[in-house]
Amino acid sequence: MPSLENILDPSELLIRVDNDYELLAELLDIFKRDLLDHMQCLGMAVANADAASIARAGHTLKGMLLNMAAGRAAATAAQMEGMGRSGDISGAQAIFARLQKETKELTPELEKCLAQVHP
Amino acid sequence: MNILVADDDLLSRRLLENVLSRAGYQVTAVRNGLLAAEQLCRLGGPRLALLDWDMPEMDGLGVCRKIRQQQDQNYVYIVLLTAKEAKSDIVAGLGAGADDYLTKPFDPEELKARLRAGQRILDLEDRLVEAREEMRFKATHDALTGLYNRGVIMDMLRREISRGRRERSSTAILLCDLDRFKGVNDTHGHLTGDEVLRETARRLLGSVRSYDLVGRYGGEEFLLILNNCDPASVLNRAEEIRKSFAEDPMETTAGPMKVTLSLGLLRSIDWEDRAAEALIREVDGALYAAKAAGGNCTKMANPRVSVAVPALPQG
Repeated sequence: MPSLENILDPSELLIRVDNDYELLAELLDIFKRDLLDHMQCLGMAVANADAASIARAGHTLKGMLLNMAAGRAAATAAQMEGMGRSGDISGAQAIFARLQKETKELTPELEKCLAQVHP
Repeated sequence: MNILVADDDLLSRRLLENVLSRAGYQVTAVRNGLLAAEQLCRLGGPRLALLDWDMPEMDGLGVCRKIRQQQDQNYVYIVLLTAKEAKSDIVAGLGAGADDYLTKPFDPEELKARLRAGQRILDLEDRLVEAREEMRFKATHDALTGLYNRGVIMDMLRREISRGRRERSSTAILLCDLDRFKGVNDTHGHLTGDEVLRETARRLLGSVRSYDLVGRYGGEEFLLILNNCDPASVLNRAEEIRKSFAEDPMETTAGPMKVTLSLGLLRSIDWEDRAAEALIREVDGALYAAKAAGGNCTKMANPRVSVAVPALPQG
């Protein structure tokens, strides 16, 4: 499990991809594309105050972020999922904004990690 | 070994595919539960499965339940992959038929270790099934010739009698006995006698159609059940079998040996409502008559009309 404090745990990510540059590059492409889609879904769910959709999108994002060893953003996504499940979404806007900021910071960190394993 | 990976998240799927391919598995990856169930339920499908819990179309629990409903296929070892950690979720997963679970994000070494444990279970199942099939074969087949044993061929005869009456189809039974077989044992020894019995079984099996039945009835007696046969030509078929022995000496370790058969024949048009045992007595009587006539011939039991054995063309 990646540390919840760090934006990215590069050593864990590299273990997961077995230091494979091509695989990491492919995963990064998938991640960037899917992140955009799921963040849009989550944003819309928050705007519509749709708790069930917040829970679903939060859950999906949590899984993706955990796979990329992005502990901090994964914890925030988990928080959104929890809010959605409980039905109490009063603070959802603020947490969504935090998740946007964390995922924005994450992408350059992932690029840096990829550069580390460049053949 | 083949393994099925089912996950709607492409990222997870690619990661799992990579780890498992590197570990030597042949991976089939699908994006929803319905496709997973399809793959796992097909004949010869993967027997090891790694299923995400939350999936569209059918979730991991649904796939587990569907697989466990299939009684007639090999065991599939299922590992659920889930972000759920609550005890109640784990209990629900195992209750639905999963064998194990792993929480996301998975640790590659732990994943491989758990799959190795699954493979051990599957290997054990294979060995048990193999042993059961071997025992089943031994219980139903004659050890020397590999033909059905007496108990089984008699059961089959009873079934065929009922079926024939129900469907008004034509059946015939042939009881064959090797002529002067005791002499083979006495002159050449029992091992040569065994060779003759094995070759007899091989020739009898080769002389009938795939849906006819052949069993070892006694020491050197064999019972053949010929289904859906033409009553008018079945005597010819019996004669063809007899001639295939008489005209082609057997190769044995004691040298070439001419072996002949005596045959008793009974057709369903002649057996009315009698039970299997009574029919055997009847056909045994015909076999006795063939022996009394010097062997190497066929006699029909209870013929309504006297039937002459037609001469077969030579060659």
